[in-house]
Amino acid sequence: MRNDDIALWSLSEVADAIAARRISSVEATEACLARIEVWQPRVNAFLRLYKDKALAQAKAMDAELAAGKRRGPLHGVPMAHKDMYYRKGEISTGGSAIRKDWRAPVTATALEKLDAAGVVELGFLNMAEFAAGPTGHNVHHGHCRNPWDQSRVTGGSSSGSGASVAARLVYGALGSDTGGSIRLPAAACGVVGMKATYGRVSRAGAVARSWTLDHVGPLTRTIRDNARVLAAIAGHDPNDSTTSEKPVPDYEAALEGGVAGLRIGLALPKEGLVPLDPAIGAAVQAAADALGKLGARITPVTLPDFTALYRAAEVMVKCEAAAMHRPWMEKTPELYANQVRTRMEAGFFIPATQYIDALRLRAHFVKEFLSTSMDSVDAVILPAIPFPLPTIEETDTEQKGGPAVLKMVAGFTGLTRPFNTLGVPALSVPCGFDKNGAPIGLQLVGRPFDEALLYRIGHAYQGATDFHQRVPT
Amino acid sequence: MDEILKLQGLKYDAKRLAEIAAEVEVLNDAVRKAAEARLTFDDEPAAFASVMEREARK
Repeated sequence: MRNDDIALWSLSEVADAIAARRISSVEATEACLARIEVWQPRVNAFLRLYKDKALAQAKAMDAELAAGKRRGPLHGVPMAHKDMYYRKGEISTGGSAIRKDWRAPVTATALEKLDAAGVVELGFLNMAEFAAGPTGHNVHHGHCRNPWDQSRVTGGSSSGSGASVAARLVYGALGSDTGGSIRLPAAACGVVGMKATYGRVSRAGAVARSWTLDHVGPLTRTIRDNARVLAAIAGHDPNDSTTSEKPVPDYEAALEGGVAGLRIGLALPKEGLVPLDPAIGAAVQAAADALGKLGARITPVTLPDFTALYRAAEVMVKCEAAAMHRPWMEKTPELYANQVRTRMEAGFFIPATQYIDALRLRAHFVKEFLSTSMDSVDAVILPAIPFPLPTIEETDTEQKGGPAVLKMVAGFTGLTRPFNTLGVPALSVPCGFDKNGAPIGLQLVGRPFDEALLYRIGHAYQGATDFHQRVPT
Repeated sequence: MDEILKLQGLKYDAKRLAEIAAEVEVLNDAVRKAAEARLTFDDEPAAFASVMEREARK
């Protein structure tokens, strides 16, 4: 019973309890392992579980603490990560069959930073094959299932990260986001997911989907937890030349600022790639109302032409993915899921000039977004997924391929992918449940490097609501 | 299309090629239109990183 209680604590609560030596890292790790034993057969969140190694690590963290050494605010906290973060000498599948036995030559910078912070690594998590899929389907390792309703999708591509955090198997997990792959599983599983500004977190040692659009980030149960993990992994990295040298703020210190006086733009897109379901719109409107009651000034805003932003992102992803996957696509195409392979094939036929123009357009898109949608507001809120969560069966396009896959992908990522093109920070926070009892995600978007403000708004919202405290049974 | 396939060293059947062609047409069209309205000779991809740094909240 005590174990289960500990597993239900938030990352910050358990980290602080370990620091105060009210509980040990071993106890927290055992609590997670006990829940994993029950939930793993239901949700298939883990691809590899390192039980003994994690317990040994936890024991070492306890010993360090007993000797007076605390590595930082994550000391002794059990986490697990999307199976695309390299750890030198260990298997890293990227959710694929192609790399099922492949061992990484280096350790990802994000993992090195979490190691230095004292995180205990429980294992590696299910994901869409090569981070290419917004639902959580995986034909090679088995589909990941939503803890709230195991017939429904988890969202992807960081499917195991969303499912494991929601089911309280881990206190937090790294995901990655090229078109929504942190925010979609966060929304679908009822947890918090941050896609920070492009360049805020190093991508070194993480499997690439698109070098230009990939973002590394955390999924957690609360905003405070998320702020704590992002602070640990953010910052310049000589191994990733696209990382910024801007100093990393103390995100947790800024959480309590409240929203009084903040100007928040509400966007409920009526037109676009996918129509907004009225119930989802109502949940986001209710979140805006809640923020308004806390003192924020809510005003309607118009978003830019998402179709252009979306298509530009598709050009970048397809060209870059086709280039990096070409050797495998030529030699062993049968080892890919159909929907993964077919989505990359157009990349061989897009002229280089179109790809370069898509890259050149990004600066213009950012300036337009900031000077229009964000001109008179501090942040924008909108839905993460525009419709109630579908079932795994409804979205299984593996046999269909081609246009059916593209339509399904566009449906999920229509409101998330544009912010990868823009590179601005975007956060998903749970804001309700749909008619089927599956979670709904509220997306908060800010100016470049304004993660602290998004966390501040999200924290105020979580202080006024309890969606993040509900646990799947 | 045969020449493109030869240049790229690719093999696809006619049905799949038609699907890909339709997909590429949509993407190229969207980027071309966006570019026509915005891009000048001096635009370069690296401007994105500069804009992100410059447009951060002061």
